[in-house]
Amino acid sequence: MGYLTIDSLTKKYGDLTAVKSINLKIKQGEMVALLGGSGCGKTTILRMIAGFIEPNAGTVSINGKVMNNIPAYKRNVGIFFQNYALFPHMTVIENVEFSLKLKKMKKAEIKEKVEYILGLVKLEGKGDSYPRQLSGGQQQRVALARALVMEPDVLLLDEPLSNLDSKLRQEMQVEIKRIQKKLKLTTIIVTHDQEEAVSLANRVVIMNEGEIEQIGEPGEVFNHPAHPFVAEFMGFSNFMEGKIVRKEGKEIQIEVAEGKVMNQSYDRADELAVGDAVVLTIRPEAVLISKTEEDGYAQGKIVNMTYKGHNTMVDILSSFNEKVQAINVDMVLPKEGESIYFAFPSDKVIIYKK
Amino acid sequence: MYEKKKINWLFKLITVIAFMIILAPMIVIVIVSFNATEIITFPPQGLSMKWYANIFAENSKFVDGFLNSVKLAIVATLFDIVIGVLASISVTKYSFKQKGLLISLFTSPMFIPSIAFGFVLLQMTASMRILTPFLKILIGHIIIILPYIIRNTLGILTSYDWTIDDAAASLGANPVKVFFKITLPIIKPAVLSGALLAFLYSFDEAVISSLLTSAKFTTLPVQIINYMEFRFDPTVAAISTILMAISLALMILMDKFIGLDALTKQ
Repeated sequence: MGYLTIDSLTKKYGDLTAVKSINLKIKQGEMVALLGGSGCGKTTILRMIAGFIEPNAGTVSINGKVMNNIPAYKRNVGIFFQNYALFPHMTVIENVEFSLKLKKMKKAEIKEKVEYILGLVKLEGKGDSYPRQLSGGQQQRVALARALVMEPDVLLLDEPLSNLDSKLRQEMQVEIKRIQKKLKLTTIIVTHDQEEAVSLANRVVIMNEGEIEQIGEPGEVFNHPAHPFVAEFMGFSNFMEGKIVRKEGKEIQIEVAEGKVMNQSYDRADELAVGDAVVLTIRPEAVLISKTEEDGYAQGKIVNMTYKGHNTMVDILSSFNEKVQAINVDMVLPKEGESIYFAFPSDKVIIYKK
Repeated sequence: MYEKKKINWLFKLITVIAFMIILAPMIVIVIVSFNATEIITFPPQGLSMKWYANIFAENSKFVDGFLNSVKLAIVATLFDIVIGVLASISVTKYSFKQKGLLISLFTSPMFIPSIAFGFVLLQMTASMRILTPFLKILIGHIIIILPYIIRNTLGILTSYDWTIDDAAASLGANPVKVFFKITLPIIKPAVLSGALLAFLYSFDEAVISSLLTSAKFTTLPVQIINYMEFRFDPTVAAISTILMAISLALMILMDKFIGLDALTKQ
């Protein structure tokens, strides 16, 4: 039994089903990331948990209590909006104390709580500023403080870091994690950034077209994606379709094109059989490249190189006409159009049955 | 640089002339109102306050007319603030078919000639005994000044971020509190500037009022027209001077509390 339980939750907009019968159980104090591209239904789920929209079917329950038909203002669910949604006519303190005043708390108690939370998000001394006088990062921390101060049963974060530059992003990632742990908040974070999801959450839920593709711990979804879709989302590339034509222990031979075969060693070869149609994938940074021919390496030609600062993206056209993408960190590379050798290490390759 | 200077000089001249054309008649009226002779002359001959005294004379109905106009404009404006704000929210917060039609309908009274509208209202209300002249004119004014409030309020609401209201709800505010603590304070400048325009229009309105008026209830503009039918002395200039002073005072108050830029920023 989860603290926050989502049971066959469904939302339709006309003919479009935005959320298709989702089930999810979240433990108290757990941080779960909903990860997916735009339009995958992750924000719709968030809005249903907050109570802004009603589901067509299914339930949301918090601490065993079904929340359907309970209006948003009675749910005690804190939400952080992507655009912050600060009250422009109120100062930082007025924004933060809004929920406490509604609870008719004593003045001294309100002051104490507001001061504590502003300290927690490192906004001391900014209390009397208006949102428009603050920087983006400061506004964001006000929004976070405002959601935290109400001591919500569930905290929802909608793309909390999407509007920040990379340095501030790193800082806020650490901050959010620290505060969430300290207050032991049951948290759902919605994001389209897989790095953000795996670094913040205890569990990651990958969504596509209103459905859950995979739920797992960050390491699991990052290294063992359940489907090619999840793999692509988690940064895998070099997808190759083929058919297994031979298998001997861990050594398998895949026919990727008419008459073109690829030899590959695969640790989980037991799951596969000769004749299976498969999709093979590997991260570009896991592809090994060499200027000279080595054992187990295939030959190709460099078609394009993109310098990215700390690494170089190398596009290779293999001798069997497949495009291969590799990331090279420190090797001095041949020129474009010249020959190169590459290999897929057996522990880095994933082979899916089609 | 020489060219630029020349243009600057030319623009300054045009601006001064434009302002003189706008302000000159008003200045003349102010000067005339202090004129000692009965016939309106310029330049004035002698200084006198007797036209001001005339406004407040015993048999004059100007004070009554002024109070009636103020009462009418206040009631009509307050009524339209409520209707206008709610109507504007309904067409901006929710999306539905025929939304554009509804917005056109809300603002349509602006485009109907007031003489035609006044005539229709006169016909419709002629047989309704329960309606006093005040109520008849009030209904007319409520309809014709509504677009001023709706247009201003729509202006700010079309760019309103409704997630702010969602945020307030998630923090524990029920819909009534969300409206009075969040939505209304944010849109207040636009509503007030619309209300000021609506108030001034109602106060100044003569066509509908003169069609629906009676001996018992006349507004100031109607009173002025009636007076001018028989007499043409600087009393009207004195009234105009007072009205201009009141308008100016309203503008200054408005600027102090919500900023005049709210009037032009839509």
